[in-house]
Amino acid sequence: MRVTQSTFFRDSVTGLQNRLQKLQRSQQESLTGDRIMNPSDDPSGAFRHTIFSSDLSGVESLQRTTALASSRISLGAEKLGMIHDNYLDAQELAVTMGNDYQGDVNTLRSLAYKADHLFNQILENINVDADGMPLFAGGRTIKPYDVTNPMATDVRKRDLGTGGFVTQSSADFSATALDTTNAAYPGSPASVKLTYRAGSNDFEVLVDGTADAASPVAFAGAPATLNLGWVQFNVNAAPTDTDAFYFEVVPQYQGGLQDPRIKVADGQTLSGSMTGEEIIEGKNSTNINLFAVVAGLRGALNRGDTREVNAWLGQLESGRSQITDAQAIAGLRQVQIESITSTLDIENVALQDVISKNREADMFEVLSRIEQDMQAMQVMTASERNILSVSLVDLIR
Amino acid sequence: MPITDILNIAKLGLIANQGSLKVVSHNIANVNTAGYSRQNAQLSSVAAAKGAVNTGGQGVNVAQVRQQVDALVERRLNIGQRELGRLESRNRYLPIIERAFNDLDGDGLGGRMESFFAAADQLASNATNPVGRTQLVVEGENLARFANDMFNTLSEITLPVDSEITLTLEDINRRLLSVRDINMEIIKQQSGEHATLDLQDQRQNALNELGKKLDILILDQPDGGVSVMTTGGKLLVDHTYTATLSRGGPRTPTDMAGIRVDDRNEDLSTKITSGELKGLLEIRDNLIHGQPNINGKTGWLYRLNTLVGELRWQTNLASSQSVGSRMFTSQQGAFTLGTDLTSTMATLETDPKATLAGVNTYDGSPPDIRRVQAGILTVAYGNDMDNLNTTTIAIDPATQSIADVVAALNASPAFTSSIVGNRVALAAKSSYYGVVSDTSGIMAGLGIGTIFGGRSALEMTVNPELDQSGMVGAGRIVQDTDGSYHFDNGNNQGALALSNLRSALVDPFSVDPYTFAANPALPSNPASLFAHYGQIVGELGSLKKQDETLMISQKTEQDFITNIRESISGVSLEEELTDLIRFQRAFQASGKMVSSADEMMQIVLQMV
Repeated sequence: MRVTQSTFFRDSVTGLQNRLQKLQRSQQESLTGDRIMNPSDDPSGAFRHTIFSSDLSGVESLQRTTALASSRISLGAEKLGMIHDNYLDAQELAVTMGNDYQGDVNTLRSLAYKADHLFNQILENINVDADGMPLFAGGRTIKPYDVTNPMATDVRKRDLGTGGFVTQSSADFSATALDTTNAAYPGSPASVKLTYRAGSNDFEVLVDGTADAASPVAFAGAPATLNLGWVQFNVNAAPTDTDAFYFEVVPQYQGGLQDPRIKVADGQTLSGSMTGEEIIEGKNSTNINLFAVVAGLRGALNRGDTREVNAWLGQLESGRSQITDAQAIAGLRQVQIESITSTLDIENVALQDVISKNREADMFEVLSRIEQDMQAMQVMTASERNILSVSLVDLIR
Repeated sequence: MPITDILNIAKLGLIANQGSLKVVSHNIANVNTAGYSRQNAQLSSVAAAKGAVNTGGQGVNVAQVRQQVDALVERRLNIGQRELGRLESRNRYLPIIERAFNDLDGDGLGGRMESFFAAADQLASNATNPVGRTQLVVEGENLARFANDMFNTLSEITLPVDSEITLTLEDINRRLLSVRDINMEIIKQQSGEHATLDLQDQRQNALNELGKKLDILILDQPDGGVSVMTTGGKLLVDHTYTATLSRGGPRTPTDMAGIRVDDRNEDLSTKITSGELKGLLEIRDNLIHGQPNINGKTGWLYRLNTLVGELRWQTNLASSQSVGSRMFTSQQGAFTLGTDLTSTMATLETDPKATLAGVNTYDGSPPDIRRVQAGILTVAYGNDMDNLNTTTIAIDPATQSIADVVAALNASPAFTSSIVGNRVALAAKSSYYGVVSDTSGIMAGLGIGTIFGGRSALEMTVNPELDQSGMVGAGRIVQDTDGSYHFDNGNNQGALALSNLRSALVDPFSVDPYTFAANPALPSNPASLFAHYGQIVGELGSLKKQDETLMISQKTEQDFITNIRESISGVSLEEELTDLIRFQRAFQASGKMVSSADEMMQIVLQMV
């Protein structure tokens, strides 16, 4: 095959171009640290990068939202602990001021302020905000409990005004909160004690330690509705002389049914925080109204009745158990979230590793390649200098 | 033999070697001339005169000057140029398309989609947070704006490509004229028995350049001329005839002016098979604007539009079944309704290219109206969010028109419905209303309560109603155990539905782009939006890599053929310099013969 000068020069330029292209590629890889800079560098690698990046973005997003959820659950657990402590204080108060207390009645009444303080602390704890939203409002922005929105609890009875409380059927005895703007309304919480007096056929009404403005209220026999203006006592069964009926007026739950669910994975959610209704009113569990128990204790203390105070011990214990159950649920959710957080952390690391392996250049390999290309360039330029300068022209004078 | 014979032979030797030296000189002068074919002088001895006895030969002359050319190699070179031209054209524009879809630096459509869904996740973690709602809207705007930019980037390539097609046609016309002129000169000179070697080189050069622009066939004619035609059989040059290529033929399937020959009403663009012109047409008509139902191609603008359309539909379907932070008192559709409000929805045309494809007449109907199915729209309404009434409205796109739907909505107890500014407008009849569920997708089809508006990636926008963050549908109306409906303003089910779209399986590329009905001819591929996007990016990368590989291979092939041509037709300086010495020596020797003959003559004269 004939070889011409053109062939030499063309081959030389082509070879140089190829080598320069390789050097430029190595330079780009060393500058960016990446093996794939354009989809055409590795089409299937670029596809994998899109998928992995999307997965990583999803995991990072879930890490942010589960971290927020975790802090909400932690805050909830903390608040439940505080409510539990409030209840321990209330229990201690009831034990101290219960049956065997031989002190001054005024001491009991003064300690009613402590019960009032405990009630307010529970109210404050249950109305706590997290991330600008009430924590226990079941997916609503409204406070779960507000003293301006009261309700009357179930009616309990102590036969002949002694012994323990017996919850009455609402068909026999019930109470209804009425007008909170009524002048006689003492505010929430309030503990109402109605004692039937057969002799005068009326009910003596004590609100906390004070006689209600309407007391005594005449009783014409069941069925009857005793309207105190701010609350109504419905009697559908005949009472016995000195029977004492008790109910409390406490804030009623005004939140939603369920806390927003937390997304923890694609298409998977977990329950968020518990609702105030579940914690305070024991919905779907023990049905103890924590507010009512503390309000009742406060009323008993105000009335200076150590036996009544003693009668609350059982309810206080059940209430504390209700809180413990809620704490256990919150704890379980916290553990669950922590487990998910841990899984997400592992996924994040794994995805970053996969992305890195898929995309990043092996720097040692890049440097070796640069070195190799540079040496090849040097050899090429040196040899081309000799090859291209050879000519018969030099031989002709 | 007379001494004068010796002088004559020496003279012929001088002339022949001088002629050979002239050819060598011509070769050396053209050593760097592109397409030049080496010439060599064919020397021939001059025989003795007829009847002469014992006189020997009469010297030498240059019988002819010939080119060293292999016609087969020349043809192969020409054919290779066509494919190289096509690949070079594609490789000029493919990097721009690739750049538009390059997400590897995190600054692409995929990154925008990730941010949008991350904002939905954040909103789901606290649906009442106004910042979360605003963030979703902002990320939606970023996504929409980027889709606009991508569309513009792709469609803006069309103009320079189309201009380049026009310029290439002008260039081809000039080259055709040049081939014709050289051709005619060769025919003329050959008839006068003049040498036409350099003209033939020029013509071959012109044909090679023409072949790079357009696929051509070259037919040799007995008179020394050539005829040129396209591989599709369209005559371009024949003796004095030259075809003129121009724009303005029948419109191409992608709505650009076609290519016509001699102003005849026939589109040549679909008949071109290679060359730069083919590469440009492929970029414009297939890689950018290709659409399955129009020209059977799947261009990247179509892919972008389809992906963005699916994203729009899925997010709108989810958000249209959610409610704002205080439900709704009034809403307006994000889509204009077009001019045909009375035809049934199932027959409306949603794609502007429908007219080109001869499907239906495009009346500006909402882009997703053909996705509406027969189903039930359930709406809650009332004055108390804790205790809402519900009503249902039956939707059937096969029997109802947009006007029918507007009337049906208006007849419900939930809201009044009317068309204001060519959009559906709703207003609550009681204090609030909100969609509980919509199995028909009519609300998404009309753009009510949707996140995105706009008919295509170019026009994609965020529903302007969402400027008020409370209008973002983050929550859903839920049914209580007693069967009644209520709405908690902290409900996050709407945001969760948006968030879940990140991994929802969709199959946008298996449906007919006009009717959205499943098309058996298109492969089904249910995957997430990200997987579809990754596939688009990967396929584009594969195509570009394939083109790059083909171009490298084609260049290598061309270099190989060029080297073969060089080995046959190229000028080797060493060879020429050797010839130079050879002919110079022969010339010197012939001169010496003259001197010797002269000396012989002197001797003879001195003898007298």
